[in-house]
Amino acid sequence: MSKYNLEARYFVLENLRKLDDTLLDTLWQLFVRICKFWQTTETPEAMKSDFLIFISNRIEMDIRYLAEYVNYGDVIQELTDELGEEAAFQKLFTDAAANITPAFTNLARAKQLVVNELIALNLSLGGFKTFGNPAIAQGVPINYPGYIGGMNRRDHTPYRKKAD
Amino acid sequence: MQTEIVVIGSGVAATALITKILAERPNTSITVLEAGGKIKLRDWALFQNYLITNKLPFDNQNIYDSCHDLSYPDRDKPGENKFEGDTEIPMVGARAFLYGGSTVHWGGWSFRLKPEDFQLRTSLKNKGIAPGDVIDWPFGYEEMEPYYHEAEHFIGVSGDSEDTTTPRSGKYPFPAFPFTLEDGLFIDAFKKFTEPVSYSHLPIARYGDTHANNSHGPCHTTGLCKYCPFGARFAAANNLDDLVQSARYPHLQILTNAIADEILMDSKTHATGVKYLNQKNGAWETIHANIIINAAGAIEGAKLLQRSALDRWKNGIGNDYDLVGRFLITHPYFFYKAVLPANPQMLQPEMGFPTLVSRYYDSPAEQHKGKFILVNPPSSPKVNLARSMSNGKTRDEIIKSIQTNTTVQLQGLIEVFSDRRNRVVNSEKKNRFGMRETKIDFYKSGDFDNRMKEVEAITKTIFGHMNAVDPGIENAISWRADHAACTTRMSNSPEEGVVNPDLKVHGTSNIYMCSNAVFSSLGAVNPTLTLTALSLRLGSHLLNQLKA
Repeated sequence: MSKYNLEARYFVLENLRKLDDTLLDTLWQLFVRICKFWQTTETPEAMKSDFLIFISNRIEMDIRYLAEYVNYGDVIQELTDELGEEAAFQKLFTDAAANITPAFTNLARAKQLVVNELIALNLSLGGFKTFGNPAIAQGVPINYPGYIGGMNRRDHTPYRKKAD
Repeated sequence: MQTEIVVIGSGVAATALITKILAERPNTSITVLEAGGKIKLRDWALFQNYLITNKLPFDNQNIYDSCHDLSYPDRDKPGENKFEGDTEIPMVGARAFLYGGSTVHWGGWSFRLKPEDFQLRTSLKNKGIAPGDVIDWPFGYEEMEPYYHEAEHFIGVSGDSEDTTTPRSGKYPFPAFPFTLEDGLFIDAFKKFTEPVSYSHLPIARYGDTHANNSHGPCHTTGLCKYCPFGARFAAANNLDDLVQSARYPHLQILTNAIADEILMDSKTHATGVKYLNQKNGAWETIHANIIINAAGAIEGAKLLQRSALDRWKNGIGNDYDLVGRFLITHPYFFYKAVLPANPQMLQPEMGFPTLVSRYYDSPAEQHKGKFILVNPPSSPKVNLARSMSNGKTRDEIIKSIQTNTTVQLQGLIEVFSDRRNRVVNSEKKNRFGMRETKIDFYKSGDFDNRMKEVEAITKTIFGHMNAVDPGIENAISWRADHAACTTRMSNSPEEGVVNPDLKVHGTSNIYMCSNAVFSSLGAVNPTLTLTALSLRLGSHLLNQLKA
């Protein structure tokens, strides 16, 4: 039986170790995959500094996130070994079993506390701007009720505005 | 302890007033008594946490509850405060007992009253309607206009400077946010009326790095707000921090967890200070001051007068005519919705705050019936993109679900008039903060339900012009205690109100009220900008007094 289907036990204690560059890159690759799977942006690099700050802030707010990120690294590695990279992310993004409540498997924890959070981050950082079918000229929701950024914007309207 | 000025309450009214006085007299000794504590603001990690979880950062720590009234008691829970009357005014969530006051959790809507709002009694009489308990303000819009302008700059309002809804002598500090594509539905519908319904940009406080007087940067988080997508909101707590941390104001201090219990007097007219409970050490303490500013809000401010100096004023300070706490007004907030059967443009609310308002019915023609405003609200999107993605929906599936149909909403505030029966008084019981609980009496007027039927008919027509179907009520009307006002209303004579046009309590020489309590009438719009303008006006008055 795959480890990711096992019940998570002594989760924090077993995984509480430093987040290294390799794991950070693994998380970044997940973020890039989200952009690609939902076609939210073609230039995820523009969001990388916000991504890094986010990961740092999550850990600072709650040290248990270190363990969640380590767990994600283990899960995606095992999924990739078992299914191949494309199918691994497909399963991670679409498998309903990963959203079970409570999240008592390693896969469910990885999905709900890492993948789903990075989906929301991706949208809030501007992924919503290209969400929608580009073929429908007026049909693109260019904003999302997340973070637009900035204070009082004089030159740029970050949402669809009514034509004058 | 001795100070020149003691201010009770630390909300936007206190902050505007203090800022104005210190700008001209930086060495003024000012002490602020704040009943609540202080919570962490402007934390980017907390902001991100909200974006990801949609949960306010302090939900799990009960800090939100620690700053607010609990629901009214019933047989299953102890609750707080007591309600009497026939129309419930919910207190829970309406006020924030903390450093910075209620702007730590407000929407930022920053309207001016209209000129006719200052003459409600005259308007009713001219229509042949008995004005009852209604009074005019003791001065007109022209007196307030320069202070409105100053207030808009103080709290950083984005608005349309060409808007003719209210006369103005200068521009807003920030340009208006453009109408959203979704606003276009409502604008097109407004134009289909025989007499087109006018509309304008909703003025909203967006206080950020671009503010000329801002030294603290954008807000990012307040901990109690539904966060705005711009990370920029005026919150008085941030401005207070600027003042407290500045070396320019060495004699300003803010005491938190200090519950003002009584204003002390050495004669019937002259106050000497304030007795308060220091919650940090459980001790009763006294602060002596030359000037007392009661900025504790329309509910607590009136209650403080009622329980003060009973050896000199039988029913409390300024209350020889039994007016303190009476004439309570707030805003009924209404919600209507309808469904657009198809949504080819994929319209969804795209902002965390509204950009469109109609003040068409906030007009002299409607004044005798109760004016109202209509707002295209920042409701939640029908399709939550993040949730859809997290649930494994593909891009095409999500697009299809957005295009199927959508719900449109209209919300608004409506004016009600003063009624002597409506009031707040002290309860003997104390709440968990150590403050006296409130007993509220409120009765809606007999014609209110008919007026709401008129409002509903208008909204149905608007929805009809949009080809929306199934119009209905989104939620029952909320009476919103967060706009509570008029409990120590301003008047030329003590027989009609509690404070004079300078906001000084009638019959006293040095006690001032500085909150929504002093409004003579409330109008149809959010009161915060008007309160800020009144505070700045009081600041001018006090500076003149101090010079003398």
